[in-house]
Amino acid sequence: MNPPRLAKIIAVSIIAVLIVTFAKTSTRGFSPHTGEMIIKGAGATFPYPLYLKWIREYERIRPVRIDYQSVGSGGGIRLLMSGSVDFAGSDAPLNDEEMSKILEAGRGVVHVPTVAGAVVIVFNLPGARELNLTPDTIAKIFLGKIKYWDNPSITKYNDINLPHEEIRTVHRVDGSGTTYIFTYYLSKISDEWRTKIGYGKEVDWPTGLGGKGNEGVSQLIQQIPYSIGYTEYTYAITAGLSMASVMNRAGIFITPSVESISKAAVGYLEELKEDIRSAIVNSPEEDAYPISSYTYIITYQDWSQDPEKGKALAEFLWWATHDGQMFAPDLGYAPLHPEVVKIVESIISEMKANGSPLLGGARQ
Amino acid sequence: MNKISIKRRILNVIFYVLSAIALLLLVTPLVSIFSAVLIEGVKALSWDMFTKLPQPPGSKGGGIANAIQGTLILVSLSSAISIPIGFLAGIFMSEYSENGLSSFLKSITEILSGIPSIIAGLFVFSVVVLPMGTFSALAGALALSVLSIPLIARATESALASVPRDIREAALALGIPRWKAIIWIVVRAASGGIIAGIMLSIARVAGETAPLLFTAFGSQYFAKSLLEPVTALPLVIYVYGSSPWEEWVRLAWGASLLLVITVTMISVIVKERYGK
Amino acid sequence: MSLGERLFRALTEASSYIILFLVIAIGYSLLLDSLPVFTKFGIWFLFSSEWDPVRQIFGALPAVIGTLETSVLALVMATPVAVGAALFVHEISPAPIMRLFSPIIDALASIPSVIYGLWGLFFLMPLLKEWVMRPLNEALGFIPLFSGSPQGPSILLASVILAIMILPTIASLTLEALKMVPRELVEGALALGATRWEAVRITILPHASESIKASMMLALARALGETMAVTMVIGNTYKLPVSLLEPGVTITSIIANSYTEATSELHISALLALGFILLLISVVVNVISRRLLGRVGHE
Repeated sequence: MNPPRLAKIIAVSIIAVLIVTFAKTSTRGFSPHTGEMIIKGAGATFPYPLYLKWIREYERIRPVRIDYQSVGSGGGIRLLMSGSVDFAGSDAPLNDEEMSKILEAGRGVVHVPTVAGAVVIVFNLPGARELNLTPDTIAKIFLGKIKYWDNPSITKYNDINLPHEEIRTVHRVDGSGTTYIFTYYLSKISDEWRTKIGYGKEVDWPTGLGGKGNEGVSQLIQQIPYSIGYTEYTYAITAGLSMASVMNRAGIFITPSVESISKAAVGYLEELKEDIRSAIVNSPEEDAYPISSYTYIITYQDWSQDPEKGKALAEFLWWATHDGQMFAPDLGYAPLHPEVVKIVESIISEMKANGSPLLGGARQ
Repeated sequence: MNKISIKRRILNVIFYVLSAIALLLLVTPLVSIFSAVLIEGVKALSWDMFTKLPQPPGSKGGGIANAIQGTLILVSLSSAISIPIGFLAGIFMSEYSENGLSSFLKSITEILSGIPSIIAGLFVFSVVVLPMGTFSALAGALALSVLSIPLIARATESALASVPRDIREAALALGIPRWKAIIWIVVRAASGGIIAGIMLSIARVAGETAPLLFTAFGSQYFAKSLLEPVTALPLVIYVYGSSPWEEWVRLAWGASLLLVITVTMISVIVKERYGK
Repeated sequence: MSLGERLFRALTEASSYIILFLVIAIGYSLLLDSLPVFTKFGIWFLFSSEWDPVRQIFGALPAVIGTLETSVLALVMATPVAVGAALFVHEISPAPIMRLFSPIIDALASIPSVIYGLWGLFFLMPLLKEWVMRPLNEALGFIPLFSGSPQGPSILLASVILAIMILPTIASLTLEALKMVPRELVEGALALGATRWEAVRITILPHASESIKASMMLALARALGETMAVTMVIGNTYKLPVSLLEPGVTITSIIANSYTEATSELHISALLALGFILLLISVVVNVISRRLLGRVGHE
């Protein structure tokens, strides 16, 4: 190759390097400007069907377009931090590290719980639709310590004939709020789990098969006899999977249902007033399902840079946590408890622009 | 007959049997896949499948009209991007560049065509999706183009290279400018091979899933703009096929049938017309 | 030179440099994205088998081994079948079967990978589990390679599907190589009293062996980068593989599964670093296979 050609090849290489570098640096803080007001959100897949319903209903009464992409809780938070979306949907509140990172932007942050959900223990035991499990047993199964279905700690609470078959555990392979809630619960009730595995959207599972999404886990449970796993309540319902009743703090086996999930917040009202990020798992309430949690919309507190959009978003959040709640039970979600709605009202009122609240006094 | 010859005969028979079994092993999966797609896919066929949007899990009915639309958008957009680039690049490699440069560019083309398709998706995600702040049909089409550009360039280059030298020389001797000679005479002579290459690359990208995961992403709706996420038949097959809902799995098989018919038809047409 | 000539030439030239641009941009982009993980863990990223997003520790070994293991296993299974079938078609079978052979190969090659995955999940998995995995486990379970308790999704299942997917690559190139062996050699051997097998062994295989090797490398490259079919059936367990009957993980499957959900910079970087490793492996394998192919006169 003669020199001019070589020069061209080098030139192309340099251009490639420059363009890639430019694309990567422009990622931070870049948000496409469009004329029409569009509120962009992204995040958790679990509340996606409900959010779509809300968006459709809300579009009818207000001239606002809201786009919600169900990229997963982790992805939503990532997009929020990079300034690509206006709000993130997440099944887990921001952890301290994420909090300090997002506060760097100087715009504050608010967590708005929108609806309650639950992680249910689903299983495939030929011939059995019901199963009672204690928290400790669940932890030991997922630690790989209880290996067979006829283990005494299972048979003790179940009158059915359990076979000497190996328990096949199934977990989420992608990062997910569902995993976060489940492992958070296990960390609360089992010291061994807390020290060995810990909790997070993704953990280092000691045993078991991985499925992608709530769908993937549900499918594996359907296909593999003697399996056990965890999914969101709605998925278990629509896929017709058997759900285990879990012993709660009061020592009662509770079957997951919209009512028993909704009750979970009652035992934690003080904590929630203090910090809305407080978890509601392992509720002391007598008829509460123990592995319950909220899903949140996370957004900035200070909207001085675009008060109009901030106001529209605050209004939508207000509507969703009030009128919007009536759509929840039909889709398998538990509405916010009235006491929690009061807390949420004060949170939304904290959203402000140029020092004054986005929502006028009329609402309070 | 002596001992050695019996041993030789037995070896020979073993060879016949084993190689026949090998052929059987090669054909069986093909038959199984085609019949599975045909039987399961036909069960899913309905008018709704072509006209309706997917329904939320658990409810009956619904279709994959948006995936059909999405695949059409992605394939035509990526064709619009990759056909001109691949075609022109193929012409340069075959007609204009001297040997050293040509073989350098050809090996670069080989390298690009050997890059795993999911890598194309990762690349477009970080240089297009993140800066734009959204998954989009455009990003999906770009990821598919990364895969099809080298295929088209290679097909064009080798089709042109098979055109005899003297045709070019004759054209030049007649005083026809070189670029016109290339377009009107050389390319025309090679058109069969070029078109076949383009069509096969379209068939290939129509079935790609991995590059779309982080670019086109998927959606439950019709796309209204190229800057919105869209879904596509292969994405529907992946997502619905690994879901627990019978209705969704059924649609996944329906989508598979559509895809297999399309892809097979393209390759049959190419064979028939261009004998490639 | 006329304006048209210059313009046209410039257009074609620019187009071909776009290809070079893409190769460099892809490599550079992935390299840039993998830097955080390599600066944090250094070379140990390659040799550690821990993948713990909670504690922010990432190691590539299980995914790299899983990718190599499934691909090599697929190659081991596919090569004898593909070569055997090509020999049968070329040497033994009547002409009509031979004419059917290349459409069959083309059809097999044109099926999209996600459909292989769907078929694998619903048809191959139950069959393999009942008729291969369970018996293997019962008879040879004492060997670690066949230990565990077969449940379906597994390294073996992924490898079998990969093997089917690379059959056409090996078979078609082998068949082409067989056709290039001078006919007189075979006829000569047969005339001297050699059996068909001896003729094949003495004359054909030595001639075609280079081509078969090249086709194997090409098939290996395809298997390494394959995503969908593998992701759907491998079971996704991030552990160093021991038994073939247990679930595993590959580079492509972990990227496809967790990329959009990853939040921390380091986690994303770890996934992209895996992508970068895959890119390097597949480019090397591809270049070797093209070299081999070039030597035996294809292309």
